[in-house]
Amino acid sequence: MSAAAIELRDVFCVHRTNEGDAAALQGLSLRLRHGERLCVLGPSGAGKTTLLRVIAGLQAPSAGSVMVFGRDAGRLGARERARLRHQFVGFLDQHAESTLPPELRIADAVAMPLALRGVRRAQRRSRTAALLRTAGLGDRADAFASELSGGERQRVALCAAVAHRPPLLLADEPTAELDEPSARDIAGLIDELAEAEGTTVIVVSHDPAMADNAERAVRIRDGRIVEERLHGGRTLVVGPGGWIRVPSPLLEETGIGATARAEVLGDGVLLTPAGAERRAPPDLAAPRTAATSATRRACAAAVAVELRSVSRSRGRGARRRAVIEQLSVSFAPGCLTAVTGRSGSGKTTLLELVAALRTPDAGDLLLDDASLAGLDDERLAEVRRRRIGYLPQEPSPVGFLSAAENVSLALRIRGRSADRASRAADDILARVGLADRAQQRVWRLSAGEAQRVALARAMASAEGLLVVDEPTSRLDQASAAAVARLLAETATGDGQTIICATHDLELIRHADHVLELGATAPRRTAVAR
Amino acid sequence: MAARARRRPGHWLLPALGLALATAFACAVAAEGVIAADREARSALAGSGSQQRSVEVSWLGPVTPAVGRRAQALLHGLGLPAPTRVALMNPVRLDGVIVRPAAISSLGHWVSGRAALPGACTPSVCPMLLAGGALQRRILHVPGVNIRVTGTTTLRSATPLGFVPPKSSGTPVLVTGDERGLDSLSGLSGVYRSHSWLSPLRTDQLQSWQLAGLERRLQAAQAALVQEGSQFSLSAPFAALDAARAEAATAPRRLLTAGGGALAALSVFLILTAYGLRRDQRDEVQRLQIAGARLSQRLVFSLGEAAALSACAVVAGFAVGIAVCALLAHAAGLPVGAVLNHSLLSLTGVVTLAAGWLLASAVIGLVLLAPGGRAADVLALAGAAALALALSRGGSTGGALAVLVAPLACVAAGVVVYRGAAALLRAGERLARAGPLPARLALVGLARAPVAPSLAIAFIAVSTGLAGFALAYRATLERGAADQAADQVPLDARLTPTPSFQTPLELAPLARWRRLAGGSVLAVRRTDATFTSGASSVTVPALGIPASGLALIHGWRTSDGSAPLGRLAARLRPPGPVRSRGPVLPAAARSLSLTMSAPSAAVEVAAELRDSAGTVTELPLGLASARPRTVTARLPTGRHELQALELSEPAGEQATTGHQNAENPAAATQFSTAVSLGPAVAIGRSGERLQRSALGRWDGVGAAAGSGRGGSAMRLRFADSGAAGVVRPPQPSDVRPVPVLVDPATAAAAARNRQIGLTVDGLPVRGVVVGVLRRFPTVPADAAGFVIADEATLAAALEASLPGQGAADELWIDTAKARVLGAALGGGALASLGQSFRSAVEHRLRTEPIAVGTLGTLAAAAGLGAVLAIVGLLAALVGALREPLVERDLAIQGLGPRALRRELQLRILLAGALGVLAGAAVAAVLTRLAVAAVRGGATIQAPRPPLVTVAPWGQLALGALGLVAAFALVGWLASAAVMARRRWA
Repeated sequence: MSAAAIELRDVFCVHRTNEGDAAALQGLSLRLRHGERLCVLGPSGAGKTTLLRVIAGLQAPSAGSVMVFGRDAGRLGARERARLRHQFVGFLDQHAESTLPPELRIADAVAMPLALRGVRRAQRRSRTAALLRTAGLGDRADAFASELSGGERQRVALCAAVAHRPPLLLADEPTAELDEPSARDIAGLIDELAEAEGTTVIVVSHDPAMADNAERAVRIRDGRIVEERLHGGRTLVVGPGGWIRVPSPLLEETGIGATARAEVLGDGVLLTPAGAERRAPPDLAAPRTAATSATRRACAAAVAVELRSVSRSRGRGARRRAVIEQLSVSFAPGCLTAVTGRSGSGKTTLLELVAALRTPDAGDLLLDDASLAGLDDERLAEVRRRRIGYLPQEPSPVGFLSAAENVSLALRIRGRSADRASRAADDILARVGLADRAQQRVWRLSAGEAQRVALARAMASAEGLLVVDEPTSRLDQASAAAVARLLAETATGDGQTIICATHDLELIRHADHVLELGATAPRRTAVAR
Repeated sequence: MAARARRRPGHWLLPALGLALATAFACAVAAEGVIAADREARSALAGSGSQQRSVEVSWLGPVTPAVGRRAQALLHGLGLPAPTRVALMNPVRLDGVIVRPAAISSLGHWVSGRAALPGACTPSVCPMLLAGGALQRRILHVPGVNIRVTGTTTLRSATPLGFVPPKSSGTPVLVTGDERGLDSLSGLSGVYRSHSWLSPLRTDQLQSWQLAGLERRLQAAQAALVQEGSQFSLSAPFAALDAARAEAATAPRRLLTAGGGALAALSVFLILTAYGLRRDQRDEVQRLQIAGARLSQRLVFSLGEAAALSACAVVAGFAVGIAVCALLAHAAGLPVGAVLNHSLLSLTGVVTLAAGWLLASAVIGLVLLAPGGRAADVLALAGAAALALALSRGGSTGGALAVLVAPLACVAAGVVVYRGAAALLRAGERLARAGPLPARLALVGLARAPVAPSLAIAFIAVSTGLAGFALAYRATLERGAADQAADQVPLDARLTPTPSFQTPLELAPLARWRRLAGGSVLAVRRTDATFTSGASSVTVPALGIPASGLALIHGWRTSDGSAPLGRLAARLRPPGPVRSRGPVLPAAARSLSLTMSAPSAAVEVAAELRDSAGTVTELPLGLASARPRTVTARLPTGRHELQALELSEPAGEQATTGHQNAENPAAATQFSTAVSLGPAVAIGRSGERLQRSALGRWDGVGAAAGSGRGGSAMRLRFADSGAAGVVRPPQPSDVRPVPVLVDPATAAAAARNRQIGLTVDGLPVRGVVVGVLRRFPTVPADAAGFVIADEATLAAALEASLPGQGAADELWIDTAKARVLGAALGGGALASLGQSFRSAVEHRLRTEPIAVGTLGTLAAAAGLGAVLAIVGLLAALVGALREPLVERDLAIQGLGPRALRRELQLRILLAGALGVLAGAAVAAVLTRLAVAAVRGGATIQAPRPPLVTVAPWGQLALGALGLVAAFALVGWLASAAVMARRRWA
């Protein structure tokens, strides 16, 4: 067995917060060879990002050993950990903004890791130019990050992460907010650059495609590796002491609840439910309790949305760029339409236009055949208040309010009485699977749960038109599928017109229509159910 | 770092603004310190007499032109103006008259009067002016001298001659302006004289920073003269210069201390705004960390940015500071360049600036690098502890540090408010749920991204607290000045005897004073009282004041006495007449006859006659001897009361027994004799007996012992003890002690029945303590205590022992016509009375340069703080530090521009009001420290009466309302401007 590049043994990592301690890693063990490429999967809050931060020396483990190229990062002080990172690590974050300084041109941003390592200017230039060429951004070297699309920014961030030829590349959900082609580009680029330098790569991702392409993938749950897939075959990981984590889908399918019976069957073990009752599979949308079914909302009327030759630009002066040009499209009432397209293709802009948060530079936008053209900001706000629920890409529920208070406050703004708002909040939170967290303050919820609170708020506010932007970007696959089902049902059951910008295939699968932006011409397709 | 500065200079703006303003403020304080020092020095020099401000070169011996040139060169070399030459001769008898000739060059500068200045003095004729003393002759002629007195004049100052000759007494002083002419008169050649060259220090041209140099030069010149062993001597006002330098040195220290405290408060703004950089910096540091930067590289980045920011701000602030300094110096009439050279551009100034830059860089670096919440919590705890400590020390803190305590407490309070603001906003949101939705939305908006609003609220609290403290400081200072002025001058004016001990009532009768004042005039007797306390005797000031006038005293505090002043005054009032009158002689009486005898020794007998104004005149009657006889003496004009008879040893024997007593202290009484006095008979113009007064019921006191048993004559025993014996009618004070108000220590010395034996002005007075006072106006601070009595009662008690001893020597005047009174006191005989006006004293105390400078510094800091508070609030809610997600989220929820504007206005108003509320609480608490600050800021060490904290609640409330209104207005304007530009997507 060759010497391991990375070896983690029984690593525990506890986050101490004001609200209490939370164990992000709970006895995680992992070993990687030099040049190996690993994809780490797992639901939100499973400990994926913590794993990367511990390996990168950005965070010290609470217990266990973290050997990185022969050094125990867990026992190093901050200064030595910084040196370890300096020597071995390239880090690519989910958000390119967190690695690219907004004040630097991208060539300088890519060159910065080299400058920090004392590489001469000329060498920095040539290396940067080569990397940007490889990333297809050779002609944008003088641009600032803010002038690039999300995919472009992520490619630049990747260039910066590998510029100093690190032996170890750590990538945290590098494709989370990218469209499929951009994601493919990034994955390919990682492979290409890693191949060229023999880099050991650990990628954290929600993207199954990413896992499919990796030579090895592990799944994390509750701070431990529970499943490993090597060269296409899946295995469950048997931890120290014989602990095995049975994946939730298997438990759901078999109906195993709190207890199970294990029997030896040939050379295997058969697990069967031990209790009398089989556990029903959870679903965010259905089945509901009698109460929630009874209060299913009867929408006033689904809103018919139509765009006629709408154009919209972003930026000013020389940087002004058309985001949407001459777009004519209509969204059928009571249907879920998924808006897809590469990063920067105008999905969010389109949603903001429909949500009456922006006005077109040209063309007309009609809601229920009523043109929004000529309406002043006050009237547009009234339209939003009366009809539209909107979930932005970066939702911002109020952290110090509970989930229920967040929803009811939004309804109070829309003129509901306190009682009605409170009842509606409880109902909608039950529908998004947060009934038991309704009184919890949002800043104590996980990122995925907070996103579901924001979704609940948007759904509660919608009176015919629900506009959601990447509602599953922070969710694991199971939660994302559940949200997709919920949105589909809301469209059909509540009679809402739902327009959803997404990259999520599961969501797209549940959509009635798909509008793809960014191609030579917007393409609209109906999805067969 | 450079790229960040180039691309986003705006994110440096707020901390840089705060630091630049703090630097400019510090520069202004430093400059004001130099200016205040100069004012203090001038004030100190001006306070010393003109004689104490002159440099004098004297020459012992005949003056030649070379001597004169040397003296002038000496003074010129010291940078002093052209000197006044003075020649002063010893008194000399000329033509039978003793006069004192003198010559003063530039005579016109030194004398006043209508007489023309005399011309040249020649042997044939030497015209001179009479500058003092009485001289009947106009021409004094002796061989070689022919003085003609051409008029009279008055010396304006004692500087040239060393004294101002008395107007009508003493040796006549004759002055001429021709010094050489007088010197060359052959007839005076044998008269001893002194020559001097005087250069007064021009305080208007002498700056405080020149004092040390001048003093060094003077000392060097003095030492050089001593070394030369010449006949020259140099005297200079070293004491005055030292005092001025000491005052000058105190001023900038005190001012810088106050300014330093205010700077500490302003530094909160820096910390708060630097805190706004944290998020941005943390992001950048995280980027660097992810990119593989080492710890040292990250530190270099963070500290480098802090240092660069500080450098820009400090340089900008210094430039502004120089401009402000120039303005201040110009306004004060001082040379701008010199003030700059001695403040900002001095080595100390530049080093301080560099130190300030380093400190600011360190503070910003610390704020950027320190772990967030915990550091702030630790700071908040430290702040709370500091606040508690400051409050527990309260007004007891003295010295210069006291000025620093309040602003530092302000800073501490700011940190506490910052850490508590978020929780307060959340609590406010909970309370607002039952209220109108816009208010709740505004509170949600503030509480959901609380860092910037908390910073703004904390700074508003600090600014408001500082402003409130400045108000309390001013109110306390004014109250203190008023109280101290009232302590020195209890009514509107106070007149004390002349240097020659002439009392106001001797110069003018009470009725005239009342006419001049147009109000109450209190005749006050000021003397000493001695009493026994334990084994020692204690002497304290004793004051006799009309009991009814106590109510007129200004600045009296209820805490000053054991009972309200009115009640104490009532206790002082006697229950009946304070004095039993003797027989009033008929108006037609021209002489007084008395039958008297003293069998064993001769006794001098005099009648004490008292006129209607209370003035006692002694009428010697003659010697009582072994053989009874009736003596007659002529009465002075006017109507008199025979107040008493005074017995004393004959003058010749007094000298003998005095000598014997001196030789043998043990021997007290040399002899005693029985004395028979009476009856007293008033005799008219033609010798007719107008009134016969029996003295049989009179009493003897002092050296005369005995009580009358009736009849026409009084028989008593006179003991020769060196003291007088007084025979007078029985007085109420014989049986009734004098009610007195005393200090606690004196009260403790009283007997159980509250009576206390006093010796007032050498005479025994039995007092009874009717009240205890903690202080009384005009009693010196270092007095061991005091005794206050009703003036009439005390006077009667004293008169009972020795007629004439009860005369008042001070006047306390309550007047609405201070100007008229002042004018009357400006000339004539009244001008020599000691006079002080309460308003003038109060004005002087209020305008002490240090106090005014400290107040100005605090006011400027408060004003600056208020402006920065508004800037900070706007930055936090609509500017660089705002959280755009708050507004965007509300827009998503359907709020239109109008509602958003209202929400923004409400947010600004609520944050501002919360800050003001917190600041008002801070100010209310900090007012307790105002006393310590005023004491620390003033030159006087222990103000009398002790300062009391004055909390100007009305002004505080008005100021708080004004600030809230300002925030409302600013919110209204800012929201309008913002909404006009902003789209909410």
